This record gives sequence, C-alpha cells and structure tokens, in this order.
Amino acid sequence: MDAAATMPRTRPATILYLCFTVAIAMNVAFWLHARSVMPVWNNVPPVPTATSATFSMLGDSGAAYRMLGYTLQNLGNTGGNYKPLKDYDYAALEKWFFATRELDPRANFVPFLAAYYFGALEDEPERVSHVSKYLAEVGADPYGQKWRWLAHAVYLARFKEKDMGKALMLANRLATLPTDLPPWAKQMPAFVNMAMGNKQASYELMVHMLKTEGDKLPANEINAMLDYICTQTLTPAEAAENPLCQKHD
Amino acid sequence: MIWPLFRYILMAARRDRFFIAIVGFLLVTICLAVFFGSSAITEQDRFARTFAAFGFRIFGVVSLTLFIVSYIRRSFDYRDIDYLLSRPIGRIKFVLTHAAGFSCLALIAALILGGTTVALETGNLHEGVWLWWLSIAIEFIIMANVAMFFSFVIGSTTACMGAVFGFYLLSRLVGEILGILQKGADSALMTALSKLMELISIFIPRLDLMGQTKWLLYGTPPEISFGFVFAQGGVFLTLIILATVIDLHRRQF
Repeated sequence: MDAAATMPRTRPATILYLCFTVAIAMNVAFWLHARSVMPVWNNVPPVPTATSATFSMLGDSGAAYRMLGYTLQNLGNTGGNYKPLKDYDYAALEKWFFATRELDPRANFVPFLAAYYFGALEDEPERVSHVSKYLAEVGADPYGQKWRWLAHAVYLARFKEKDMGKALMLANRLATLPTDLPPWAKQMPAFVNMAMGNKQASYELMVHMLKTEGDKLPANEINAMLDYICTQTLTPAEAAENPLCQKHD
Repeated sequence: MIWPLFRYILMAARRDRFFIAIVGFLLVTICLAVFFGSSAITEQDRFARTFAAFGFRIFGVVSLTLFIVSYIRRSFDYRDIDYLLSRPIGRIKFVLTHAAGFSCLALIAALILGGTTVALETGNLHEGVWLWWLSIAIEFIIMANVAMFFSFVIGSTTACMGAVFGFYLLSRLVGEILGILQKGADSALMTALSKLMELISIFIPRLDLMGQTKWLLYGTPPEISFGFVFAQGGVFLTLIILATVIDLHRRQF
C-alpha cells in the first residue's frame, strides 16, 4: 500500500478542505439566489450623442453607426425574452434614429428598421408618428433611393396615424423632391386623397415600389416588402391567391 | 541603412511569430465580422465589411506596436543595443535602419490585412477602397515609428505600451476633441485647457481622417485625398523619426 495514502491527514490540509467545502457551499447559496434574478428591461436607454458614439468606436463614425444600429435591432432582447413593440418608448427611439442619421446619413439600415420593424405597430398612432417623423427627414436626404422612406412616411401618416393633413404635406414634399422619381411617387398627393381602404392603398404602394424600384433595392428589403404585403396587408385567403405571395412562399 | 540589422529585425519578427499572429487576427476578425454581419436584419454585407475593416485596423496597430515595444525593450534589457552601438555604426543609421525595418513590417501587415479587405470587396473596387488601404498602411507605419520612439525614450515596457496606446487613442479621437473645443469653453479653466489641448494636437497625427470604414462603402470623401494622406504620413514620420534620432544622440550609454 502507498505510504502517502496511509498517512494521517495533517491539520492544515483539513482546514484547506474545509475552506474548499465552504467555498462550494457559498457558490451553491449564491446560485440559489441568482437563478431567480433576471435582467430587467429598462426600456429604450438614453440616446448617446453622435460624438460619444464616435468616441466609443475610436473615431470611426461608420463603425459607430453599425454598432448603434445593431443595438437598436436587439433593444428589446433581455436574455432571450423579446419585449413587445408597444412597450417601447418611441420618443426615445426617435432620438436614437436621428443620432444614427448624424453618423451615417447614407446608410439604409436604421430607416429599414424604423419602417418595417418599429413602424409595424398597430393601433398606436402617437408612437408611429415618431417613426414617420424620422422617415420623412431621412427620405429627403439626397442619396440614392432615399425618397422611398418619405413614401413610407406618407403611408404611415395616412393609414396608421390617420393624419390626412400630415400625409398630404409629406406627399407634397415627396412629389417636389429634386430627384428622379417614378410617376407614382409624383402622384402621391392624389394617392393620399383617394378614398381607398387601408389594405388596398398599402398594397398599391408596395406593389408600385416593387415594380419600379425592385431591381435597385437590396434582396432583404424586397423580401421584407413581400412579407409585409402577404402577412399584414392581405388576408390569408387573399395571400393564397395572390401570385406575389405564392412566389414569396 | 544597415542591411544586416534590417534583416535581423525582419527575422526577429518571424521568430516572434508576428506574421502568424497577423494571420490569426485576420481569421478571427473575419469570423467575428461575418457572424455579426449575418445577424443584422439587412445590409449584412455592409455590416461584415465595416466590422472586418474596423477590426483589421485595430488588430494591425496592436500587433505591430506590441512587437516593436517588446523587441526594443528586450534589446535594451539584454544589452543588444549597447553592443551594436559599440560597433562602428552611426546612431543616425541605427535609428533609420530600425525605422525602415519597422515600416517594412507595417507595410507587410497592411498588405495582408488591407489586401484581404480589398480581396473581399463584393462591389466594384472604387477609389475609396484604395484610399482606405493606403491610409491604413500609412497609419501602421506612423504607429510603428511612434512605438519605436516611445520604446527608446521610456524605460518601462508597461509605461511604454500605455504611452503608445494613449497616443493612438488621442490620434483617433483628436478630430472629435477639436470639434468639441471649437464649440467654445464656458470658464477660464476650460479655456486654458482647450488652448493646451490645441497645442498638443499640433504634434498628434489626425488618424481620425485615415482608414474610415465609410470609404469602403461610399467612396472617397471630398475633404480627403491621396495627397492629404501622403502629406500627413510624410510630415509626421519626419517629426517622430527625428525625435528618436535626437533622443538616441543625446543618450549616455
């Protein structure tokens, strides 16, 4: 038999093992307390200024834009639990949108997020007005197909906020933008005034945009628009018969 | 230029596995950038390109400066520098050879990291991509020579690394700081501090005007040109290399 194994345990070793046992017990006790503690969602955090966001990415405003955008995308995710949009503070969200616009006015990530994610809220006109306000500003920026965000702002104002005055004002702004617009965008004021139903108008707007701008838009955005048409605008029965949705599926 | 010493520096980099580290950083950065990019709701490729370019820039500077500081401090500790300077080598030539060796390493790092960015460009290779590549190459050369300067001047490796990274942070943020200062100070103390900061900024390169990830996406900005990038590199490298020569010239061994 090994001599070391038969030796009596010394006092310091006993104390060491005792301390180790206490440490394990403390870990278990802490775990019992911590297992019920979950991250608390404190709603939309205070918006960083464009300067502080740029500081945090070592002076690279492009990277700062992407980080803020990523934060916005995952804002309501608290350890796997997603908060419903109706719980968000949209006034604070609007400040976030505008902060990102200062960092990169050309990018379309945050406008996309605002239009198709945060703007998808139903029966909350006050909240949606913060989104349309942002999209209206972004839509007037003189880069690429930015005007499409202004068109989306018109749609939100007309059919989600039910604010005809605002929708008409934005539609007029869109129609007079000094950029190359398709005919339907120039006819937006008339479109606003048409006595169409919510669904029909939404459908017309999206389909027009897909027809005239589909080849210039990123694939994700086209997919988002198709998804919007097929899951929000049309009923399941209508979607089943619509060729756009069959292709989409 | 002392060719054996130049070759020795490059061999030391190879012995320290500098090139393997660069390739390792490259792979890790690409994986992280693609992972984060693919989780974005749209513009995934733009996210990946932005994060990759941002990571390459940081890791390039970090790996270069870490190697240079540890190499020079080790040379001092093992009396290599005392030995080399006891040979018939002029101190100016000694510094210039080190500057050339480290600049060569910086160019290799820029070639690997920047070249990968260019190779991964999914769109057309517009002028902004080339400007980004050139500017990070010059940034790497500037930071390599700054690391050399601080390693010769400061005796402690830890303090030296702190100084190099502090300098880098300041260089990357100096544009934002100057922007804040231009908004005006509301007290005598702040006015004095802003004047001091303006004075310091004379000796800090404007790295905030180099290697912007936006250039990869949208092309060359109107305010930055190839001439500007070359001029900044030339002006600052002259200053920092001369400062290193003067320091070594005055030093008693």
